[in-house]
Amino acid sequence: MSGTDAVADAPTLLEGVDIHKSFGRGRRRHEVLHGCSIRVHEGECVAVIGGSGSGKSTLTRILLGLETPDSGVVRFDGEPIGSPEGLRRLRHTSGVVYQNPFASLDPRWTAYRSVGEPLRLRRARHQRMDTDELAARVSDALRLMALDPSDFLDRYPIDMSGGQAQRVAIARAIVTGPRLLLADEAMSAIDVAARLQILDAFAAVRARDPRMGMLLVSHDLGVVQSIADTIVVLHDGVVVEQGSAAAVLDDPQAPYTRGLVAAATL
Amino acid sequence: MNRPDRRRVPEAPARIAAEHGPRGRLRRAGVVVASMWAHGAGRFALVTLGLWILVSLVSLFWTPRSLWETNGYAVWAKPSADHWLGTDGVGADVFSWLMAGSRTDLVIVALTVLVALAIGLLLVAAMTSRAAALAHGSVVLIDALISIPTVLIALMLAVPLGASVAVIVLACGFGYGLNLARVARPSAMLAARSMYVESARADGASAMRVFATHIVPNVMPTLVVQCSLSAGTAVLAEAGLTYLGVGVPSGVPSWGHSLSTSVRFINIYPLTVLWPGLLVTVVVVALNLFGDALREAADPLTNPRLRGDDGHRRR
Repeated sequence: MSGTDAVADAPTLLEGVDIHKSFGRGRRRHEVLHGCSIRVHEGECVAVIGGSGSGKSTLTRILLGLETPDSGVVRFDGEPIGSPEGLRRLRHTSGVVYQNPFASLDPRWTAYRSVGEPLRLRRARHQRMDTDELAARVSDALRLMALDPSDFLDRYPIDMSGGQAQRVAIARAIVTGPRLLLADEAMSAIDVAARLQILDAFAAVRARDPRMGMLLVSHDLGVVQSIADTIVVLHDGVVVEQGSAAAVLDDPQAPYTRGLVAAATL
Repeated sequence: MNRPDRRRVPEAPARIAAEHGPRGRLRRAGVVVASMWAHGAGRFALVTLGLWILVSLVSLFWTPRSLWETNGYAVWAKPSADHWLGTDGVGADVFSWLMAGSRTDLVIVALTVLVALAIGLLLVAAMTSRAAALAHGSVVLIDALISIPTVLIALMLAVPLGASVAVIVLACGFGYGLNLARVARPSAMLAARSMYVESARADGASAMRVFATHIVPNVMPTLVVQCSLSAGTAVLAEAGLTYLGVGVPSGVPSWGHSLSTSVRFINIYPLTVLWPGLLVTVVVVALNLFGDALREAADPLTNPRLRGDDGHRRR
């Protein structure tokens, strides 16, 4: 059984079915997603690729529960995230990495506070997590990102490079040991050298938590090729192609995917 | 010679734990005050406001002369060893009245800023709310209410309350709170729509927590400056409203009261107007400078010492 088959046989972690989403009203109504379906299994890395305005970010926000779809359903661990319990479960067992690390980290918070925030938010009300334990767990997450805690715990984003800030943002996303990691264009706002560090960081996280599912939104086929198991191609709000990374990149079927692959090899 | 990196200590978690305890907060407060002290304007503001608080406290127990001691033979007296700043029209000691007035003005300023901050933060919370009706409604409400002059509000409040400190505090606090909310809105909206707020929400942070931990700290620089301006304006408003007869009641010492009782004689005895006028001017300038200095010193983005950087970016 191949690795891809093994992933396909794993339990479904996140599932979006027939999602429609539009913005505006009346004449200004503009449909962004036209019935998109997507599935992420445990241990699988699914990459959503497509050009600007294809609906990638809207789809991610809907899958995160930050936007409500006009129709369709999103399930996390079998529970619709439209229900309070489903949304709570999704938020407490997932992590998100955004495009711009400097925008996703509070400029007036140290790395310790930013990375520690999900831990503080997710502990039950009756549980107490003292500062020592919090600092130790934040340090572990930073070490996994190849960042020295003694140097980074009390750093502010203003004193970090783009790659360092993005690794701190990833540390924040994985500090709770999430079952699902969503990365929305996490490598498009940083330079090539830092991109390699981020890829290494993602690889380290996947090695630590082999059952963690990952949803990667990107327009960089190089990044996608190096990390994704499955690729979903989105164009004008429609899923035009999906399949294993090797199949989609080596033998694209949809004309739009062929254009993307051809453009990437220029 | 390479300087040792004092930040690199082996027990990072333990150091961070200590930094987030009471000692850490005390150390940061010390850094903020030291940073303010490092600049002339900040030093002037700290000394002036420190003296104001000190004089207010001392006036509770001691003034050179009793406030009610008058001397019909020594009215409008010039400064002397007996009366350091001279006497007023009933022969009362001007210095003693200004000393006692300082505590009234201090209370007015503190309460006005508190009321303005409470109203302002409440409105900022409404404006940054995710409920569109509340957010839009609060903007319209502020625009409508801000057009009402503070003096008119004070006159209306004086009907049920009479001339009192409460009239000044409520009228000014209300007006300045509206202003504070309007000025803080752009930076509050920027923070509310930021990725870090979205990230916190995605992690399950409540609206209240997001407001308290992300939005307020990021509008704090604006709030600090606006509060200091409000404090300065409250001192001026106290003088103005007391002069109009709706502020501090007769017999209660305040700088505005000292001004309003002597302003009619400015052409004959200018010194009695000069002292309270000078005091109000110096304090208003100090309050404004204090706001600017505190904004610079308390914000980690503008004060590298708070980031443990000593001015060096460490990318």
